[in-house]
Amino acid sequence: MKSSQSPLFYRVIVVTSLIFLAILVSISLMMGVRIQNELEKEAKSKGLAIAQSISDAGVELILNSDAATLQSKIDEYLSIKGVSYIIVRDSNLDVIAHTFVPVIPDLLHQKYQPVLSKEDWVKRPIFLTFNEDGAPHALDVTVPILFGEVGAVHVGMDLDLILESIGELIIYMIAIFLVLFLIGVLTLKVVMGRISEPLRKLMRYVSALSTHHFESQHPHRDTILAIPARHRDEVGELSTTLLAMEDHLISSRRELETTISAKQQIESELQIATNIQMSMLPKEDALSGNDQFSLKGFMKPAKEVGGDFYDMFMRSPNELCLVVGDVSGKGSPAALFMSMTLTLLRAVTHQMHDLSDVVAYVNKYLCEHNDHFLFVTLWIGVFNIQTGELTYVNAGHNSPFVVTDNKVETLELTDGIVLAFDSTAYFASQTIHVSPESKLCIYTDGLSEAMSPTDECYGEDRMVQQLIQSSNQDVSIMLNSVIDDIETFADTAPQHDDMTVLMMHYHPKDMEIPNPFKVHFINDISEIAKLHMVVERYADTHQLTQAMAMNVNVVLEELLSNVIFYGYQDHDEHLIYVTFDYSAEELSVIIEDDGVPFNPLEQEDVDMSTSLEDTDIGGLGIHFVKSLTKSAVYSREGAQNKLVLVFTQNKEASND
Amino acid sequence: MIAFGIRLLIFLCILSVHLQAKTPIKIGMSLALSGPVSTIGSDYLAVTQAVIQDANQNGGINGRPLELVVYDDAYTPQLAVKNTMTLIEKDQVDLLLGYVGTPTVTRVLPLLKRFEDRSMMLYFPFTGAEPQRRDPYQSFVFNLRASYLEETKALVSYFRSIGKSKIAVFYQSDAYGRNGWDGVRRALALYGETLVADASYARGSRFTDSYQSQLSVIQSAKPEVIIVVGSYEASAGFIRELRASGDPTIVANISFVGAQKVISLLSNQESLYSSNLVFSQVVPDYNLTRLPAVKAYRHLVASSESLQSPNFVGLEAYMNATLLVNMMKKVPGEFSASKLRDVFKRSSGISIGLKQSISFRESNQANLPVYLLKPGKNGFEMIERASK
Repeated sequence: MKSSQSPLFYRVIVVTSLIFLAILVSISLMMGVRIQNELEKEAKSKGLAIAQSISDAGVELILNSDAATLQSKIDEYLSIKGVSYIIVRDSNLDVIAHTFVPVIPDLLHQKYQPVLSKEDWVKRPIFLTFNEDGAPHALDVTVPILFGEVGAVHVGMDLDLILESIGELIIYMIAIFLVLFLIGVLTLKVVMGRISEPLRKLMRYVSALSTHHFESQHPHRDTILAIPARHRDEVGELSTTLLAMEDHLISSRRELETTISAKQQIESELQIATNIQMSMLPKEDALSGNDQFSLKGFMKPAKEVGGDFYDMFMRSPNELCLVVGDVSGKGSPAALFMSMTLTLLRAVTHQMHDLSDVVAYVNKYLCEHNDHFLFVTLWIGVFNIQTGELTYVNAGHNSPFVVTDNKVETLELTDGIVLAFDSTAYFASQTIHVSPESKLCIYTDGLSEAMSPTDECYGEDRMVQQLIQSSNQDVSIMLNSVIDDIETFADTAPQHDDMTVLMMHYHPKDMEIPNPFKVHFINDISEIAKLHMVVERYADTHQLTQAMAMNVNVVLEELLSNVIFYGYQDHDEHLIYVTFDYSAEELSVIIEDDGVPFNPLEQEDVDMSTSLEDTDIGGLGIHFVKSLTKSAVYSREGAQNKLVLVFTQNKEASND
Repeated sequence: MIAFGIRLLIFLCILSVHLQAKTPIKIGMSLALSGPVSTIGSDYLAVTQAVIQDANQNGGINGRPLELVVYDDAYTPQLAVKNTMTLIEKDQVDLLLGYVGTPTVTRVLPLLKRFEDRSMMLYFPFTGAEPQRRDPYQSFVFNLRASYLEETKALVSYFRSIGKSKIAVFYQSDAYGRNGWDGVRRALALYGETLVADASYARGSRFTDSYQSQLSVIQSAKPEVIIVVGSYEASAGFIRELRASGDPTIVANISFVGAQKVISLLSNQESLYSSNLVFSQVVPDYNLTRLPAVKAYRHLVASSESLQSPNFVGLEAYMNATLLVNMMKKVPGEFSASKLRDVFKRSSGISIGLKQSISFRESNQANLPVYLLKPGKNGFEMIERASK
């Protein structure tokens, strides 16, 4: 133990001292008063006994006038402790012996005067107390000798002696108290040392722990290891608790390290998952280089992996398929569901022509494999890059924006509910025409609902504003400006949802359609749309009449669809060539295919009076061909069917 | 004190080698060889030893040597009692001789009564106190000197004869002082007078102590004479302060004081201090060589190197011891204490070398006069008294 005691020790000492002092003072006072009373009582009885004794012995001495023996006698009594003085009087009450040096104080004479002048002083002992200056501080006992016949005796008992005795007693008591107090303090010091020493150790240990990293047990631990065994009290418990705490912190740290390493592993796996997810999205340059449109996609998951997705691919040479979806929730579950949805969509979109069917199929499939009750909002559209027609299905998704000449419109909804919710849901599609130079912006709510640090929502208005501001820029720049704006807006606020946006800029090249013009189609019924576009362009270019273009459309659609449906017995792709040649108010169209030999002109004309249901295949078509053309000639040249048709300006279908 | 006693014993044993190996007659003494009256005790003892030695050299008592057994009591009653018990019980002394002082002798008296069966007698104590001259103890003590009562009576009578009746007493606060005080008081009462003042001092007070409190009490009564009943130290001290205050009042001392001692203490002071002093004595002037006792005493002093110059105490000691030895020689047959007592009681006309002879037939008190003296050119001078 160090010489400097703890403040605790001094506080205890001060309190103990005060208590000791209080006890000492009160006991001293009580004992002092009590003992004074007792001693005074004793002095009284002792004084009386001595006075009586002298009175008895004095009778003869006084009668014999033996002053010397009398003096010798009272001198003997004077040696008794507590006797202050003795005075002997004779029968005349003259003093004949006393022990005062040099004389009896006058005050005593004055005090005795009234007492001895009374008749009855001989009847009983008389007690006086002298407190005044000029006389000894004494208790005076006066007794008569032989009933006052021979004389009187005064004995003074020293009261100062009583006070001295009390003083001595109190000093003695104080000494005992001091010794007890010292013993107490020393004991306390030892006890406090025993208490404060472990506390100090604990303090050092705790302060060492505050900077400890808990990889292993702190070296200071050894200093308190023995405390619990030695101190079976609060200190011991505290030590046990602290030791347990350190152990717990060490094991917690180890667990934490394990957890962190596991997390790091998971994170690295998640990174891989992120990479996989990102690789599932279309490549940046997947569809670049197309002169009809420009595309820019962006996806930023809120976590390592996200539930948002987008896709863009050519379903056919003229059909651009655009997909943006959002799986409910975030993270791994959403990511897995997203990958299923994306894969499914890509596969099914190629197999089914009708978008409603595609979405319904995917919905049904997802419903069947959705144990975790996720759902997907989806916008899918098929855009004909030749005609500008956009057919889309919106399954509970945000309506995309169409930016045209600094104006932004919102695509109509199609009343579709989210996917993976109702397996029997029907998803209507909608077709619109997208004007050249328009920009389509398909996005997820992660953009419009991005939050600022003050919990403000970014909102569609800001997004529209941003789109308008950058509307004459390239889609990449537009997209970046929107994302930049959102990120500026969000500032330090964490990204709470995945953000996905897909933008398309439609910029069809004006096709120089020559005359004559030869174009090919494949044996796919979707090529009919292409046909219409080609006819329309050709008509526009060469200023065919509306009626003539209409007739050409009707006839070619009939004949081309016949070839596509019935001309081939295999499932291979075949090319069908159509050549337009317009001159002198007449348009000649030649259709060449490598299908089975078939002359449509040889088919029976349809009886227009019979119902359509009864009419044979092609019958009605042949009717149109014959009636809307000026001439039609079929020939089989090698493996080719060749049909030459001639239209005139004045020949109108509506006439029929 | 005990050491002194033992030394003395060895000395006396050597001394008695000349004598036949007979059992010595033991004489016990307890006196002040230290304390405030030690000079008196020492002087008294020295003379006694000289007388005994002389007796032993002259064949002892019936062939038996005398042996002194001496203890110092320092003038304190308790020690005197203790010494006496030792002398009687342990030392088995045959008789007691020459105690000095009233308080001591007064307290020893009951022991004489106690050893009455051994005829234990105290011979010639150096005190004029009353207790040993009264019942119940007067039969155990032989007193040669006059009592203090006689001395004070003589003094009062003398002072009245010279017209001085306003008398105060300065006395020692003990039996001795009280005895003297009582003597003066009684003597005055004979003339219907009382003390004008009295003041006591504590026994053991020294020459150098202050006596101002007593002085102021006594002076305030303006006495014509102050009778001192005290020791030589206190008396000389009191006189010094009295004279120093310019007060020439007559101061009288009684015999116990040791007149030469007072004078010698005051002789260092101014000469004025020793004037107006009166001393009452129970032995004659030691210069009166015409008296056989004085002559023999002075011869003894002159022949001994160990003795002080002649003085009153020495003369009294010499007379006491000589009387004792002479009476012992008269004891018929084998010596015994009771025989000695009987010799004293039966003898009459005993000569002690003074003008008058003495007898103890009537009482144990010899009838010797009181002498009044004053300091003179050569020692002391007798005061002539009208009454005597």
